[in-house]
Amino acid sequence: MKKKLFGFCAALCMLMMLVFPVYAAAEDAPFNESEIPFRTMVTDNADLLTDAEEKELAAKAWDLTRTYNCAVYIVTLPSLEGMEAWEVTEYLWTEYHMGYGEDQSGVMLMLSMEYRDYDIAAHGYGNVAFTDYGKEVMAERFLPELGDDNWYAGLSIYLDCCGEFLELAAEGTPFDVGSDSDPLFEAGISLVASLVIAFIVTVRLEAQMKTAKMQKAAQAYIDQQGLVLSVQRDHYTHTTRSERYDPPKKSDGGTTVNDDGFSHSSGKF
Amino acid sequence: MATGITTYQCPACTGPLHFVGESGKLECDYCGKAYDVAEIEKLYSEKEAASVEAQAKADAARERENAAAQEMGMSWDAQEVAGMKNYNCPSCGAELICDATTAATSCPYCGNPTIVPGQFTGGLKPELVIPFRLDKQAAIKALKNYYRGKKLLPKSFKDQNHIEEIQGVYVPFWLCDCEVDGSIHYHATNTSTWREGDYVVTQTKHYEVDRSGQIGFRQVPVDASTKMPDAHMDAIEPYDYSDLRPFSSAYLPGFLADKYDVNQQESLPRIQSRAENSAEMEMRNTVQGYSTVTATSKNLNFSHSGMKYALMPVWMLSTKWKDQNFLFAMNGQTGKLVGDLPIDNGKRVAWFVGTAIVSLLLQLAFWWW
Repeated sequence: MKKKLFGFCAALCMLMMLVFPVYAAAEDAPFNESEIPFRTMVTDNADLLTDAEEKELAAKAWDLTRTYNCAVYIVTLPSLEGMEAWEVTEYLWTEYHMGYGEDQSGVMLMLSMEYRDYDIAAHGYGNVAFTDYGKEVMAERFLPELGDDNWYAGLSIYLDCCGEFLELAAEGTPFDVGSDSDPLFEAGISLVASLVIAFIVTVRLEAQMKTAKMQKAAQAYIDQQGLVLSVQRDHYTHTTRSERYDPPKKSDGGTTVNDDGFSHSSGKF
Repeated sequence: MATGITTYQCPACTGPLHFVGESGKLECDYCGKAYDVAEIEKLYSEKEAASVEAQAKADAARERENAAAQEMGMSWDAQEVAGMKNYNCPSCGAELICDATTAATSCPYCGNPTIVPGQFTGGLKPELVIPFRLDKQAAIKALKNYYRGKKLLPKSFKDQNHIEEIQGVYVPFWLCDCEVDGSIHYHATNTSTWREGDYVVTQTKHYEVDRSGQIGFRQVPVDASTKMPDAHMDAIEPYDYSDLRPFSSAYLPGFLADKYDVNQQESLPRIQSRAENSAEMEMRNTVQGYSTVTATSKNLNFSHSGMKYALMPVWMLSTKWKDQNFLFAMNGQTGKLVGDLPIDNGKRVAWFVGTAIVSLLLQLAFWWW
């Protein structure tokens, strides 16, 4: 069944091998085409793209792949056929020897149309370039377009993000928690916090200058017995419950990698 | 018109006696002899009674003189007369004009400490007194120490301000035994929060809490003199009541003393407010184990079982700087000193800006690290 499902992938793979020229020169090591057995960068089994769109996206993905020695894939499927999204991406990656080099470095965006599931899976060097937070941000950027069925626009954003994150990783600073913070906004927050701290310090210093104050209570004069309670009743009445939407954010950064060397970010579009 | 007043004179040399807080005795400035309060009290009890009688006669005579002067159109107005009394200094004979509430003072001409008879007799006699324990030098030292560590104090204040006046004053206080009973109703909640997927769930348990009870207070002090600023008198509390002694005018020489001019009834609202606030705080302290507690209704009843008239030792220090007067009060027993100091606006701005800059740099360094 799985072979039937992905038979088209293999065929397209052979086609793409003929279509794309071989490029050399990556950032750190020369790109070696033989290091990437599966070169079908865009596999549109769900038929979401026109041929021209598919070719354009595939060219862009291939360009990223050879520039950064990290395979960038897009796969669309009609259905997950009862599997979880992450199970499907791991199956494809392993079954079709996806990724670049010995450690099968790469990233894949998989879309399944049946229940509109997506999964971003990374492997090898892809786990370095695409952190958990990076994958979340990437999804936040392309999901609005995919939600509106703007497939080409959404997938283009995905490739743009891949380019941006791979470039940052190549520079030694992978996109992670804090990478997308606005320095001006942070400086503004710091300024406000500093003014509040300065105000508190000044008010405390001023309070030292005025010590003649009326007493509001008489704690020092309570007799030895103290408070004698005649009634002490605590009565439970009811419980209320409220919910607030707050998707979890990773505050410590990094990438969570499973035993098979994959990291994922899944959801619905 | 002027009448006699009492001075405590040394039985050995007739020099004026002063009460000295450190020794707790009356000491002679001239021959240096010291006497127990009880000893001098016994010696002067008869003399004091005679002075009171003389004072009563003098007051009557003065009233007659005033009436005559009024007929001749030469009198002071009634308010002025009501607020003043005059005496002759037994040491130098000078005529002293005092406030009607003054009970102990000293002659501005010869410095002789004097007790005004009749001010502390009968129903006006205080029941208790806490004698001075700290002297004038201790008050001056405490004021200098008070300036230390005040970052906003103008630099010139310490050097240029001068102590205009320093007076040890026995301030009249009412000490009130009272009780507050009643009930307070609270609404309390306990909140727990956890995450369910992409949702933060908050569960709040609500409780109705009732507390009823009573709480007693012993000898809550409230100053009974309109001359004394209430904030200063409140702020130098508390006094150590273990030093309370039965009143004797023998503790007064060397200090000023006033009789009360705020009566018990007028003092009660301040005591009631403090006692009720304390009762609320104590009841609130028994409501524990909740995230939030809000008092929704309360019913408190205040009652008092008695008030005692007492004199408390206070050093009043007045300083002047740039034509402004600054008043300080020090507890003559414990040494606690309070008072408002001037603020250097330049220093205030410098501290604000400096703190803001340092704080900002630390935060930016943290972000950039």
